[in-house]
Amino acid sequence: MDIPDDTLINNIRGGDNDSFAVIVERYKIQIYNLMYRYSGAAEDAADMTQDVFCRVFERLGQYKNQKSFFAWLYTLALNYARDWARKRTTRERTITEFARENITNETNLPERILEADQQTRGLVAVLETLAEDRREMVLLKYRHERSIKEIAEIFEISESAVKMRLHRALDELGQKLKN
Amino acid sequence: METNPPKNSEQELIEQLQNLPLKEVPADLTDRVMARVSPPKPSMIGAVWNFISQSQTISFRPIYAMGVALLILGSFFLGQISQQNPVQVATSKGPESQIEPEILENPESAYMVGRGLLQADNSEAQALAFLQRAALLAPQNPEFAYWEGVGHWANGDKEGERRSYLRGLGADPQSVPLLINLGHNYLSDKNYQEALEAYQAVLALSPDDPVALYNSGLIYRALNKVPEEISSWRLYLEDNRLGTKSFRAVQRLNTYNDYSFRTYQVGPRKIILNQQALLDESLQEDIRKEELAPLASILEQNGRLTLEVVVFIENDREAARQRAFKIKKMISEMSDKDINKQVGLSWFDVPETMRVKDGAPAVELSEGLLLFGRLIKEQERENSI
Repeated sequence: MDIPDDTLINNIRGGDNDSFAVIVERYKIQIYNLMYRYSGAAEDAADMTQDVFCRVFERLGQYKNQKSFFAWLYTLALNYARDWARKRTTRERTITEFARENITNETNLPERILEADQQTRGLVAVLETLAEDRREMVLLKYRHERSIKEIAEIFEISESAVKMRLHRALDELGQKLKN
Repeated sequence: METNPPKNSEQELIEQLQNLPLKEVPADLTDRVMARVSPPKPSMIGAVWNFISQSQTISFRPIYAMGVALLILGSFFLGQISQQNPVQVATSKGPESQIEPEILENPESAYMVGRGLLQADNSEAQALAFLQRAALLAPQNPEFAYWEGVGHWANGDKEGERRSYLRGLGADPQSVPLLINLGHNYLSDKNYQEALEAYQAVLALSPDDPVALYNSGLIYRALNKVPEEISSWRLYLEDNRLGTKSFRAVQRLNTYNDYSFRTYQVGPRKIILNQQALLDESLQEDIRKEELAPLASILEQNGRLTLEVVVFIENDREAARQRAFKIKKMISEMSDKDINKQVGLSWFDVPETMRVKDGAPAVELSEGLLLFGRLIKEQERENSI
């Protein structure tokens, strides 16, 4: 049986760092994928995910159980990702990108063949066009199977507002996919 | 009027969302996090040695740092201000706005305030005023010239930025930071030749400088100097295998059908290896082993991962076989664990065909090394048992 988050957090506060490894294992997929959506690069996403978990560790004292641990963690991660995206317009990036060109060659790796099918790629592309909050809500609800309550806590809106936005997001996705 | 998709298509959409592929998390991510949150405790002597021998990163909030700097400077200013006429305060937004750069006679003080303001939000103009003051008071100080240039850059003044760097270089022609930023300045204006000269000057002083190497590659690309561009990417990749820029360098190199470096997906990780070095039998074994170290490490960390090594050597099946076995041996020797069984081998006496997009003819490598990883699912494992 899975140990509840709050029990793990109490253990960590009591000095049991191994419990933090359980937390990382439990949520690293969601956080890494969130970071990947903002950075678009595996290396950056890995670095960002590490930073987020380190911040979580440092700030565990601030977690007061007023919302679920996942909601607290995800809020922190979302804020971090937004900050990161805002700051990425640095000098280095500007310089790096000025000569960005289309990559025309691709090695013959077998895993390329296993790339997501066209339908999935279409959905991913359309998801990218959604407003950031809507996209994240849709993914939290349907891909990560988080509850409406948790999503409401993360975005600090009411549960009915979450339902409404999810409904609209699905509509928008459906329309865009049709087109 | 807006129309909703039919219910069944919404259900399909939800199912598609539920099945969206997720990016695989690097296998060692948890270990990396845990290493950061609970580093092993060194002995007292070790701790002291670590402290004095390693570069230190200080995490701070600029506003606090500025406050501390101003507090320190405050006592100093009080002495100065008490001997001068009262200074008219322009605005009263914060303590920094109450100090005019002109009252500072100490270049270090002006420099410190300028640096602090540069970190703060929306204080670029004030920061520049202090950094200019510091540079004015100590025109021969290359560090002040550098930061004055950065101040100009933060205010969008490229010409001022360039003047500062050139003045700093007049005082210290071998300052790598000044040369680097001068190169950036020229590059951002597409003054490729001047930028290149600045970066080449950096490389003359510091041949491995990754920024100078990378940006030289970009400039050669812009100038359509292909051999020089290829050379830059290769040099860059000799020491830089991580991060987005390294992957771009490989892609650009491969664009010219140069596969000396290749990107390989091994399980959850994408790594860059020097294919040329790995296939070069005349190269010292140590160098080749170093190249293979990441593979051994990945296999060690993930016992469910298998690595497939495929060697292609046109018209020489035996040589291909020997090299495949050699690579496997070298990987295995790099680990104390029994990773030998995780490495699978194949060899062919035909060239490796590289798939090229956009209808271009396929590229054939007379010697090629293909590597890919495969995760053994628990079920497969049970079947094999």
